[in-house]
Amino acid sequence: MGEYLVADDLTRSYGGAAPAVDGLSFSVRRGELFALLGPNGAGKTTTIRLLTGLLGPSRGTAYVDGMDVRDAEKGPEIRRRIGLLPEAAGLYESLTVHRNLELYGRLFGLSGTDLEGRIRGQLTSLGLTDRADHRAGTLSKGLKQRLAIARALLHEPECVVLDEPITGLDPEAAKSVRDALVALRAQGRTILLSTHHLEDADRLSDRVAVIRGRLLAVDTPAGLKRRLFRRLVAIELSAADATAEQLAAGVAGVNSVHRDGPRLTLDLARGEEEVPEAVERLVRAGYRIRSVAAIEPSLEEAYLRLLEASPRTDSTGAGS
Amino acid sequence: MSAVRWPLVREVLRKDLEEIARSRQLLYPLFVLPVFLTGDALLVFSTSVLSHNNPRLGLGDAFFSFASFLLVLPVILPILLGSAAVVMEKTNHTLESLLSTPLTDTELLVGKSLGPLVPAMALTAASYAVYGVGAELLVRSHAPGASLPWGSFLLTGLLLAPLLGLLATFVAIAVSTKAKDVRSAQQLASLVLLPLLIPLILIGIALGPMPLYQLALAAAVAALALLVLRVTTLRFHRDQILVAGV
Repeated sequence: MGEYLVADDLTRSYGGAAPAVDGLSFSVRRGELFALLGPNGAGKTTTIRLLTGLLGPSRGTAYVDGMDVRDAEKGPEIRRRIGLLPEAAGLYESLTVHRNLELYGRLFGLSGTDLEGRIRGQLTSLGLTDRADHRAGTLSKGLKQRLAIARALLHEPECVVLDEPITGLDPEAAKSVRDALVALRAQGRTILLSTHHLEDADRLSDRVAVIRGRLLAVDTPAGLKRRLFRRLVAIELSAADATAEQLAAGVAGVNSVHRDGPRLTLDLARGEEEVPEAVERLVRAGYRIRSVAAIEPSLEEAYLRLLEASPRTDSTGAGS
Repeated sequence: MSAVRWPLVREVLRKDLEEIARSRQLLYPLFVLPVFLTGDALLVFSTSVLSHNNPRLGLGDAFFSFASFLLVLPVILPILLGSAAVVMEKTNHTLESLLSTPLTDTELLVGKSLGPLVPAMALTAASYAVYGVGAELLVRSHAPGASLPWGSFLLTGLLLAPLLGLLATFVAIAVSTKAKDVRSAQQLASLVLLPLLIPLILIGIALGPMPLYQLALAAAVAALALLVLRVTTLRFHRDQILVAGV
């Protein structure tokens, strides 16, 4: 699997302020869904703008399918390869839904029956056919977002970059955007998704990057969780007390034990090898065990732990 | 530098014209100003024609003075539209999407310049045509035999006005790329252009219909327009447009 988007020591400052992003290096592989995570002001939008050639880097560079974004001659070709959904849908609200798509189609060099066919296709797949003649400004936020997605996909780009596509949408609209993402992924498109929705990132993405001005981590969601949390196992007793806690903590390989009511949560160093011994000790001591279950930490927990461990660097500038 | 792809420029122009046509905020002043100025010019000229004891004397100067007065149009109309051209894309959050298309910076600049220039020039030309025809009809009916300085009039309407329109458009676009909102862009463009326009009109009126002066003036305005275009082109980069004024 080749690399489609590459950030190479990507750095961008605005004026004399501290860099909004500093020394980012990661790559998005062809055909994968890659989520960019980070708190507000972490530099996600700036990173997207740099990766898509909308902003020039102050240091380092980015490559789109091998093309250097600093090469102005390659700019139009780079932009042709990418379908961008910016944070704000950015529709021409006085123009109709159809005209918004037609305009962008033409700017991407489409015309005639080909353009008309693609517009019809997008309107159908995103459920906008009956709104084709409505002004974009009259649409609900969810429908506007769908139209913006249709616009980003109209020229059938190899790579789709979406900046916070779900933020501010109601559950139904958010689901339609998620469905669109799943469909795009099934088509083998390369997708870069910036999001605050960690559940979506966990469920949909192949890999995630966590940034806060600098790159904090790049991994698969499962890998990131493993890296930040050793194995957690919950042992549910009929009643737990300090003795039970001490017994479990005394097993070699158990880093720590957290007691919450009748439940003991064991943080294990090696995996689940320590569990039988802990269970045996508890049973011998007369405790009744109701259940033993592995705990899968959420990506959100991993993300928050990663941010806690990383000092905040002040960054200011356009976008975030 | 790659060649300008005119179909893409035409799309930007078409889109901008459609937006202007749907914006009351832009459309009303766009038509009200030419109608009022042309009407005023014709009205005052008609009083000159009707009240003159010897209509053959001084009518040419009066005719030319009001033609010079109409030079306000090719400056004000591009300021009105051009100042909004880029900054409105920012305030409406459409700029990022537009910049993500394969348009080059040059194509975007040309398209964005034609957007204000085309309607401004069309309305200016229409105003000059209405004024010229109206004045000629007035003179024929009330001062037959009097001749109007058509050479100077045509130089003003067909050469000086378009050049001033170009200059105003380039200034307005340059300001629009750096401004935070439409109003501040319009104010700044007016601040730059009006001190240039007012003496130009007053000197033109004081000197009367002198084709040589008009040609020299046209050359000066053309040189200034080229200079502003050069500066605007050098500074018109999507990176700077996206970040400026934020």
